[in-house]
Amino acid sequence: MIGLVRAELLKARATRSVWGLAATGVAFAVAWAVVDVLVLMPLSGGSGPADGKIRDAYSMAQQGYLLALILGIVVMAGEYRHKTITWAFLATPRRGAVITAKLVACGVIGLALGVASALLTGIVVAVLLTAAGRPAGAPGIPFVLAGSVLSTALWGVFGAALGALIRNQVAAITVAFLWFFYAEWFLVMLAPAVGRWVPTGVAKSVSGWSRDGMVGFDGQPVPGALLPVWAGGLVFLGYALAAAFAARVVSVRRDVT
Amino acid sequence: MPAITVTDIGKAFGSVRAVEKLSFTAEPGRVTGFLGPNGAGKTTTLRMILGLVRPSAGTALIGGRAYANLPSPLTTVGAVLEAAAFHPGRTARIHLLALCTAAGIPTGRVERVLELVDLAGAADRRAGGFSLGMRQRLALASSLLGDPPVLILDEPANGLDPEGIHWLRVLLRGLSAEGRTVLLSSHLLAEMEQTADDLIIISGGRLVAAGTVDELIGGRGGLEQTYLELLRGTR
Repeated sequence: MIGLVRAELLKARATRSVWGLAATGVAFAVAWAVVDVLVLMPLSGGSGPADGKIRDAYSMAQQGYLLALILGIVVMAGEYRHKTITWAFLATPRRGAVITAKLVACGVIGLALGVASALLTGIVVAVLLTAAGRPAGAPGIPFVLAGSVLSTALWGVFGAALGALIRNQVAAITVAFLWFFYAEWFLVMLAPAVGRWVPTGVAKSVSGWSRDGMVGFDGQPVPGALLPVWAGGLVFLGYALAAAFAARVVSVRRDVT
Repeated sequence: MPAITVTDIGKAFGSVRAVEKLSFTAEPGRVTGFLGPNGAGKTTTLRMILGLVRPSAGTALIGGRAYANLPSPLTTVGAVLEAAAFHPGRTARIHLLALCTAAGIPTGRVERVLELVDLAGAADRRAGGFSLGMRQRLALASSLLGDPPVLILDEPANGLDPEGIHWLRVLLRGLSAEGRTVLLSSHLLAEMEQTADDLIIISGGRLVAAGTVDELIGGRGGLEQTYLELLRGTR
C-alpha cells in the first residue's frame, strides 16, 4: 500500500495542473486573509470580541479548501479522463487498493496545501495586524491553523472520492460546484438547523471558524450554527470515509473499457 | 512459462452479446495471433483476460490463475491495450517510474525498457507531444517493464512505421523463442502470417477457426485469402 501511495504522489508531483491548483489554493487563503484584516475587520469596527476576530483572520487559512476539493477530483477523475486508470488496474488488480491509495495521496496533497496555506496565512495576518498596530495574537490560534490544515486535507480526500464516483471530471466539478455553492445554501436557507451538519458547515467548524457564515431566512445569522471542533471533525471524517467507501465499492465493480 | 486458457467465456453489454462461449489456448513459446473483424469481440476478450472487464460467463486464466489473483501481475503479464493512453502532462519516464513504484519493480528497469523500445531520447518529454508510434513504443515499454513470461498485445503495430513493424516482429519472435507466451491481435494479415505460429479467428463474439498458421492456410494462397474465405462462411 505504501508503494501505491508513493506511486500516486510521484504522478501528482509530476503533473503541472496539480501544482497550479495547489498554488491557487494557497493564494486564495492568503488573499482572503488580506481581505479579512484590511477590509472586514475595520468594517466591523470595535464591536464584538477582539480575540474572535483575530482567530477568524487566521482561520482564512482554510480558504484553499475549494482548490483541495478540485485537486482531489482532478487527480482521481483525471485517471478516467486520460484512461490511465487502465495502467493502474493492470499493475494492481485489487482495485480497492488503488482507490484507497489515491484517496490517501489526495489527503497528503491536501495536507501539504493546508500546511502551506497555514504558514503563509499565519505570517501575512501577523505582519498585517502588527503593522496596523493591533494585537496579532489570541488564545487558540495554533488550533485554528491546525484545524485549517486538517479540514483542507479532508477536502482533498472528499474530492478524490467524488472523482471516483463521478468519473467525468467536468461533471464532478460541476456537481461539486452546484452542491457547495447553491444546494447547500438553499438547504440551509430552508432549514437553518441543517447548516451545522452539511459538509461545508462541519468543515468550517473543524477549521475553527467562529464567524457563523450561515444566514437564515430572516437574514439573521443562525444561532450557534457550527458544531464544536471535535464533533465537526468527526462528522467531516465520517463524510469523507462514507464517500471513500462508496467510491471503492463502485470502482471495484465497474468494467474498464 | 504459463499458458493463457480461455474457457467458455462470454460477455453481454446490456442486450448486446459481445462474446459468446469462446474457448482457446495460447501456448508458451508460441506467438498466437488473434484475428477478427472490427466489433468481433477481440478487445473485450483481451480485457477480460486482463481482469479489466468482468466476464458474464466462463473463465480466463493465466497459468491457472485469474489475472486478479496473480501475486505479481506486471512481472507475470505485460499488456498493450488498443489505443494505449497516457497522461499528456507526464513524461515517459514518470509513467514508467510510477508503474515500477506501484508494482514493486526495481526502477533500474525503466532505462532498460526505454532503450529496448528506442525511446531513451524522448524519456523526459511529455507524452502529450508523442506521435502514435511513440505512444505505441511507450506502451510496449510498459508491458516489458516486469520482464513478464506472458505478453498480451492488442494491435501493437498500430502507428508504427515499416521499420518499427519489422523491429516489433523481431522482438516478438525473440520473446517467444525464449519460451514466452505471446497473444497478439492485429488487422495486418501479411504481418501476422510472418509473426504468428498459431491463429485464433473470431467473428460476432464466436470462434470461427483455430489452429497453426500452416494448418489454417492449407492449400490456399495466403492468410488474407484464408481469412476472407473463413469469414465469408460465417455470414
